[in-house]
Amino acid sequence: MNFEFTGVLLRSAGNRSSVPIPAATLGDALTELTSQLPQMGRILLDNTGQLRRAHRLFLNGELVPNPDRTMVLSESDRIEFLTAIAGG
Amino acid sequence: MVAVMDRRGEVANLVLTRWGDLLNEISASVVDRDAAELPPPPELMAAAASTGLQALALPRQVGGEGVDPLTWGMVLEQIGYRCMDVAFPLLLSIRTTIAQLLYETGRADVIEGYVIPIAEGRCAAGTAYTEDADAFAFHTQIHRKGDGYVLSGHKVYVTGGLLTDVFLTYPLDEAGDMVACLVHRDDPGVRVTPADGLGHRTTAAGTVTFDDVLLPADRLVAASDGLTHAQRFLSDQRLWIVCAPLGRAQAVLEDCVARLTGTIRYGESVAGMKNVQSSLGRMYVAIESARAMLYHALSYVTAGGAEPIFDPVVSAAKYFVAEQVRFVLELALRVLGGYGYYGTPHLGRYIRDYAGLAVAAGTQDILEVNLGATAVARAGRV
Repeated sequence: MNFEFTGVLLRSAGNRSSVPIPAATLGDALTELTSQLPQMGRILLDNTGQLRRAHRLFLNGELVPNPDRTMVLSESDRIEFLTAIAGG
Repeated sequence: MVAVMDRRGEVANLVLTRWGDLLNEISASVVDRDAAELPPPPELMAAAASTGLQALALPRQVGGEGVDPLTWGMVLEQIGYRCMDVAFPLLLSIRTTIAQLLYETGRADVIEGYVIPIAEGRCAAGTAYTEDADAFAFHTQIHRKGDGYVLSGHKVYVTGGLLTDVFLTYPLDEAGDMVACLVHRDDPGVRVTPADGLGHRTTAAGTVTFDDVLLPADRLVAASDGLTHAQRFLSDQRLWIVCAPLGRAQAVLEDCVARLTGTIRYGESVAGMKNVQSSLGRMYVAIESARAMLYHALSYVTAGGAEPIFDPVVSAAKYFVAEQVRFVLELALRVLGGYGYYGTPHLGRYIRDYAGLAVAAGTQDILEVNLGATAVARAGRV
């Protein structure tokens, strides 16, 4: 699968707009991603290791309202995050 | 839409009969209070609670009337229409939203200790979120100490901060995650000072500083992912903050028509001049289209269709209504001429106060970006 990044997350991804990850589930993919890009973990995950709900997850262009770490992924799947954060 | 407009009529009548006198009283002193930077009188805020207004949208279990989001939005709109003090509906809506979020914790201690007192007007709640930093780089920190926590930091702008008894605030923990916690104004180490702003001089805005404030563990209401908790507050509030301004824009249009009808230039009523009628027509279009957009979003939320953290329809409604309200005020100044600038103490205040709509609960610019990014993500063309 591929993570694709824009906006604030692109900076945390070292300006790599696409990061291919070999993983069969969302949980595995996030673990590998944050292993490769530790700074991404602090942005994406909360202090229990769960994906923050403020990041809206799109799988192949479809919003996934409540993404679960067990969500199965295929090689061709594409995940994007919309970090719709306001205020500050 | 027919049913919606029927409900609008019922809500207008409800607000007039139940709170009309209260709103007139608050309005009567607004010019002097704006100059002195004073909020609505405490006894009138208390009256709002004792007559059920503060609790109107809260569940019956905590003494509320459980009105739905469409009705609550219409009530705020009508308050904005009748009340010349922008602070009143703003403080009302913030406290209600905080109470709703705290109610959702389901914790008996939180409901007994905070939600019911807020509903009854015995406790003023405020949100201390904003810092001069992005959400991942907040300076306010919370650390474990014994069975509790110690909180340190500074929040730069809290609407109603000078009146606030309990702050819902958002520090970062040792892991760098944001948490949500409640801080009492009288907790040792809490310092509140006035905050200056472009407008909203009657909202008693404040800054709050936390100097090693000791908090018992039960003050945490979100022990992880407080960022999402804060975004939920902002997403809810995004809709409520434009309801009253829309009502006020309606009142401004009506005031313009009344004033210009009685203003004679070159032997005729200014309201009869075609260029003035054109401007009034554009103001009318702006208000009606904003109302249609707002009611669409309120109905959507009432039907349970909105996404809780960032909803495109809600965000688009905030964006659009804010733009239309500010457009109406600008046109009002142009058609009223000198009277609008120096003849009335109100229009300039509204222009200053509602400039805040461009930045509150998500700046117009960030909403544009997020809405555009949502469209792109859905199209799968990133």
